[in-house]
Amino acid sequence: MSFNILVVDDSNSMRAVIKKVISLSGFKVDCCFEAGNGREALAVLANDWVDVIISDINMPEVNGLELLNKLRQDILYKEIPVVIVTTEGSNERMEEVFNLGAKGFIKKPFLPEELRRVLYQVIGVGNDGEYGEDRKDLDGFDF
Amino acid sequence: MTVNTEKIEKILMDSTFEVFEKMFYISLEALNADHKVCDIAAIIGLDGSARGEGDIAVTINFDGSVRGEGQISLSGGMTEMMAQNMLSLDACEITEKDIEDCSKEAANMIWGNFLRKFNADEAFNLSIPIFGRNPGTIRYQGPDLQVFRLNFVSSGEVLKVIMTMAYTPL
Repeated sequence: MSFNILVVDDSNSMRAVIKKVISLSGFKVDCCFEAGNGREALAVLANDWVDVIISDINMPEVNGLELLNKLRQDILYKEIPVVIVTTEGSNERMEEVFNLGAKGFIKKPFLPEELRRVLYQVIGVGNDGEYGEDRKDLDGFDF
Repeated sequence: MTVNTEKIEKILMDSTFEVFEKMFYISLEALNADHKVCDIAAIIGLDGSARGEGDIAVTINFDGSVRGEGQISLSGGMTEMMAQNMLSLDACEITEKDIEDCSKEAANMIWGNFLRKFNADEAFNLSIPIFGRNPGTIRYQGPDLQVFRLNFVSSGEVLKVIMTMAYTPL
């Protein structure tokens, strides 16, 4: 089974890093969509099916919290798992995003291994699951 | 409010180290008051007068139970090193947009990390980082204001971290 992933971050660099980790983690990805903020993310969702969303919080126009809120209120999107990748890692903020329906939370700065582990958890495939043989070892991964 | 200045400085320093090691694969060396090497002082403009061609600055604001402004100033070589390492690019492939993006992301992560370590129970508001070619001045002023300045080098390139912090909410 392969996935469509949507990466939402106003930083091109961070989107590139996340996409690289995904590709090197051995996930079978059909399409990896990108959006610079929540508004662009909703535009992607209107046209394409997405299996997982990886989103920042602090973005212009529609931020990550507003995006989570809109997703939760839409019957078509509310079941899509969302992983938040953000600098805002306070306990209060974590509680807020989980209450809004996020399935995973990663604090920046992060190691590639952390992102991979959370994605495996959210997608429901363990490290010894069907992707185990495909995944590349990121521990010594040199960006 | 009783404030432990040394502790805040240590948190800011640790946050900066962590961001540069994890996201940019750059090992920084902190310079402190014991460093009297004239050429290093000249490079980083410890007196505020020296500023190299291509220096850039990124400014970010935060507020909550404390408020303030953070700024990083980077030498051109430091920004290129960051973009190269983060994006796995050759020097000739790096664009101005890459440099702006990586620099803004660095400021965002440093102060996000700092505020999380400062008070993990509070969700501070962090502004969108502002990128500029000429390091500017810090806007907040007042009697309750504290200023923190940290200087780092790596492979001859320079990073300056400046933060003002006030202990009263807006």
